[in-house]
Amino acid sequence: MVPILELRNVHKSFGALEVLKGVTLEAMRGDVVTLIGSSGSGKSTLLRCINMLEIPTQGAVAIDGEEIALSPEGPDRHPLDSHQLRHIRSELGMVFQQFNLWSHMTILENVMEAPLKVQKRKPEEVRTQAQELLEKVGIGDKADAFPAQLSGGQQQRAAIARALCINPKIMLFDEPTSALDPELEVEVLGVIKMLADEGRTMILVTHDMKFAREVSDKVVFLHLGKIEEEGTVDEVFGATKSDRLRQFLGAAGHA
Amino acid sequence: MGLLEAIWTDIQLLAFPALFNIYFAASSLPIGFGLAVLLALGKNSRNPVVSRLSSAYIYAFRGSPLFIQFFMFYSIMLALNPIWWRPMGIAWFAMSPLFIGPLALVMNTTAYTAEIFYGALRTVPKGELEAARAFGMSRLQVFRTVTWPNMIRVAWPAYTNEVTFLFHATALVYFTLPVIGNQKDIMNKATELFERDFNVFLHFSVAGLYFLVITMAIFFVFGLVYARMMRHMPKERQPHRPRLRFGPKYIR
Repeated sequence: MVPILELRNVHKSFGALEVLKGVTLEAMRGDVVTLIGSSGSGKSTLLRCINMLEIPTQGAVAIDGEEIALSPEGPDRHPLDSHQLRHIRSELGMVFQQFNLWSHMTILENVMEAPLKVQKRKPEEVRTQAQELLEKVGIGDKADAFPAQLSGGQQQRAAIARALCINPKIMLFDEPTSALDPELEVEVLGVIKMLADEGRTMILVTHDMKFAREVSDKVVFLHLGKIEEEGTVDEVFGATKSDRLRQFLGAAGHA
Repeated sequence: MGLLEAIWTDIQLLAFPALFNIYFAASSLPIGFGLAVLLALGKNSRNPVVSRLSSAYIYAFRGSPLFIQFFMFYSIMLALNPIWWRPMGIAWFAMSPLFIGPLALVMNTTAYTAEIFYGALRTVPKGELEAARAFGMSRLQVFRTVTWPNMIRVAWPAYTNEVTFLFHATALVYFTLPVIGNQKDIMNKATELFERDFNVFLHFSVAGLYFLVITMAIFFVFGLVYARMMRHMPKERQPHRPRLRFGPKYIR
């Protein structure tokens, strides 16, 4: 079976600073992969390399067997085929730490925008799906509100609905609860857990070890731009091999 | 003749000239608006040649007085008349103040407006742009979905200001360009009336009144647009809805 996501030897440098130093990673359809690690370990950068918000300076990314075409390796590397990139991006639903909802559009408009403009789907069909998704994440009554009128937790759930509405092959979560206080965090984590239980393919960057244990099929621990340890929840949390990870988990209070 | 009658006579006499000021503003503002968007994007461009050329244009027109720009344009057009406009048979058009006036105003307002838009462009939330790209939008789609609505909202109060400045600047057109026949704007006509009876106070007050009233209408319309642009903002940041109302309170 073809992996839904394949990262091969991904490097990323910002000037002289090398953030990713060769990461190889695979995910199969239905996998929930969590990326953990301390700040600066490169986990967010790795996630952003998947949809080319950051262009890897070396290495390759393939979605569902299709490799994203990039120019030869180097600091000025860029996508070769903007049409292909847009198509691949339109199949990856991304949820950001700061929600990044389009502030001048209502929640419903936010959810409908990409399906209408990028995927060119029919308005009636998209509207129905958008309403269903908003109901699903528990903010069906907020369809006509603007983002600024919602709490952080509600905004993030709207952002999740927006990502779901493109029927993504993979959901990418970049620290989705880091900007929320604990009370609001719970409601967002509840939604993500629900999606995991549905069997969606998800790549999740998180600081929440308890949550990583709950949802992950595979946990990846990044340290200084490399995968230090990876495996199932039991392997990584139960039978920790590396000292770095033990130290990290100890500091996180979950050793 | 009583004062009120004198004022009323002036109001009537200045009504037709007011159309010239309105014409100069209305013909140059939309064109300047469109060019300014392109120029602002040019200044914001990553291409150094495009960016520097745009900056240079903006600097040149913001850095020199509009009055001088009018003279410059007129001299240039005049110099080109024997070699271009007359042989081409378009002198009647190219040398008309009704063309040169808006031409100079467009060049000028484009520069000022571009600088306003450029400043606003830099405040467009990076996260919203990134989200649009992450969903696979093309550059044009990102511009339409995120950049434009955010930019124009931030720029709007300053742009309103530029519109009123430009409208007032239309009073300069016939100070620098030749007056043809009865094509006179408010300032011209007021000067003509003043030269008959030397009543500075009356004629220029009425001229000023025209500018005040038209400016009020501009504020009203632009205010309505702004209220619409800000409707997604939290209540405390929303502007008061503009009202066109004269309501002195005689009894408190």
